[in-house]
Amino acid sequence: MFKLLLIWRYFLKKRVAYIAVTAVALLVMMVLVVLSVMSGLLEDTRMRNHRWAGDVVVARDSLVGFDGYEEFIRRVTENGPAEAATPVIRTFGLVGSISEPDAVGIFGVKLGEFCRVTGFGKTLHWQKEKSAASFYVPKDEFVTPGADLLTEQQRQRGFIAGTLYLAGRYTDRPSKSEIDKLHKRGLEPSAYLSWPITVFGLSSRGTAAGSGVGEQQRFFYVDDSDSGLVDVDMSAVYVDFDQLQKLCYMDGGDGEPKRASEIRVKLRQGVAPEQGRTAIAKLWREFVTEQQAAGRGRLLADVKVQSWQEYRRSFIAPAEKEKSLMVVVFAMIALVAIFIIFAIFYMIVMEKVKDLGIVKSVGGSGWAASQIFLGYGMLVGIVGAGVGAVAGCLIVWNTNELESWLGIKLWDPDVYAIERIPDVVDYSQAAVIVLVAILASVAGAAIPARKAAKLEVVEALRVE
Amino acid sequence: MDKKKETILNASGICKSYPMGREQLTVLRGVDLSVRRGEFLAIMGASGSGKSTLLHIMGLLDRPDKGQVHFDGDDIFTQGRGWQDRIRNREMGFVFQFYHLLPELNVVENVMLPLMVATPLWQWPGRRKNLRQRALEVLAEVGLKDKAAQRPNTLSGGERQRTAIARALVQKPRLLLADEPTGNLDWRAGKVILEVLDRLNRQGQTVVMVTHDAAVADLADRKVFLRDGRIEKPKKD
Repeated sequence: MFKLLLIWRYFLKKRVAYIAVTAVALLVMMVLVVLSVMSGLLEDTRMRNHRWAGDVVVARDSLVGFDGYEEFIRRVTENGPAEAATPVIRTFGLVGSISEPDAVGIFGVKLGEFCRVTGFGKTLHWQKEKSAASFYVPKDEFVTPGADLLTEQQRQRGFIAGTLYLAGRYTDRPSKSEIDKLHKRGLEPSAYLSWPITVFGLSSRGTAAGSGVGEQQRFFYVDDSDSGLVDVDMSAVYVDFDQLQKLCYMDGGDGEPKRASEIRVKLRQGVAPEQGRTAIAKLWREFVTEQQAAGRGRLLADVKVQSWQEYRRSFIAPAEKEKSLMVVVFAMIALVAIFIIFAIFYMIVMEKVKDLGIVKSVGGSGWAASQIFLGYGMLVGIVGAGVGAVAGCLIVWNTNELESWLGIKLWDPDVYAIERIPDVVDYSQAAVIVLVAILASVAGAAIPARKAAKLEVVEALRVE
Repeated sequence: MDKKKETILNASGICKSYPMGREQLTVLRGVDLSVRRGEFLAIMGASGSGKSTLLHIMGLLDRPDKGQVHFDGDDIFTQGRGWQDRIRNREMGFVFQFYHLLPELNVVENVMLPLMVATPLWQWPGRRKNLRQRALEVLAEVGLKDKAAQRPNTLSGGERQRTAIARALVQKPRLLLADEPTGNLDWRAGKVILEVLDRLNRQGQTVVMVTHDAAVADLADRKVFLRDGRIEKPKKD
């Protein structure tokens, strides 16, 4: 009982205890806020990359692409682990007039399938809520005079642009706020905004196909996509798969099989990502062997089967490294803080060594005496970590409101691809931080307490 | 005065030295001393003669380099830590020159400290009232019942020392050891402390007191002198 009484009294009466509590609280708060925000950023980056890429990507780096994709999609969806799969053409092209073109990445996608396989539909502005997104340029003759001048063939040629690219093309600044302004000023499918898009076709042998100076086609704005990935939103334009395949001479018009650059795959529910990737890789190897045996596998040998993490590795890795770096930096700061806590406890305990002597002089054991300081350390740790955790959570939960209130932009949404600073606390991570802080406090008290408890009573009583 | 003659504590061949820079300062050089049940013994000697060291060794607060101390027949330094703690808690009460009260506890809590040490946590709720009552009784014996709720830093030196005596007595120890109990007090406060010790001894309490003051030592039944680390043999008249 005397131990609890002394622990409580030391806690209430010693001002240095408040300093220790404050140190522990600040440490916990700081680490919790930084880790929550950095983890949130990383999670957000991963989520956005996953949403855009799908679960597994079968891709060839070469712009020539590969054949046999339709057969492989059939196999992987019918007998494999895929719930759905869709072909994608990835190429480069020019947007705008020949005198002032922009170089962009052009993706040919079967929009309905692509939205089923990936989360692309959720990134669209006008068709976000639609069950089936489409490149079809809508008829809106009641709103726009002359709309019926578009032929049915032209209406198939819609394009979806990355928000940042679109904003950058029509305003001084490629930002999400600018695209919002453009939407309000009438940038919508019925405005019939059109762009000439030029691509350069390649034969299956890798030689220039078609005219050799590029194939141009006029496409019409139907939507824009805010994937949250700066590299994609800054430079991507999406058009219909069949349209682009034809334009790039990948549609088999030259007597060769039809080609695509990628197959995006959505795994069945319950299939673990790595397990799914491995199964698809195995199916692919079997497919390639079969095709090669039939003399058709020329373009298939260097096709890679990648998980979405591998496919987007170069974009996820910096965020992971940034988080790791921050964890290391804050671990070093935490070490310094733990050392300060240790120093504070050392001073507290050494100041109270005489009390240990008094307790021992009336029959208290050395262990009981050290328990007082261990308990004291634990109480300081619990209160400090508790206060720090609550303060940290409050800051994390209200971080966006705090940012607005302070009137400063801590994270530029155009750089970090986030509109809001992550404001979710990972409670398991918070529990670990709190536990480490409590252990550090106990450890800080343990060493001097153990040393003091070993002193003979008289030696302890002599300490001033 | 009706005092039993059997020995309660016997120290034999006690040697103790302290490091003093590179040298060893020998304080006790083979001290032999017996304390009889119910007696009031004063250990006297000049400053630095080792009388406090001897008292600390007798009270299990320090260990001798050599020699033995028997308490009620048991060699106290060959016993385990638990046994020693129990003896310090129940059988010996120690009064220090500088009181050594815990400033975070009030007077009655300081007096209750040995009782709290002896009471396991789970027994505390049931025994708390009785133990507090016992502490208040002892405080009443030393005339401090009305100061029970005060902090030690609000008390005078004499009151602090009486609190320390109450703490030493609360477990009804068989041996009360007092190290210069009036050494830090003025004459008036010292007189009150001596009256308390004298009264306790008359009630049968065995008291061993260290003092350098001959007037204080006159209160004792028996006096021994420490000189050059040894007990001086009494001079024959």
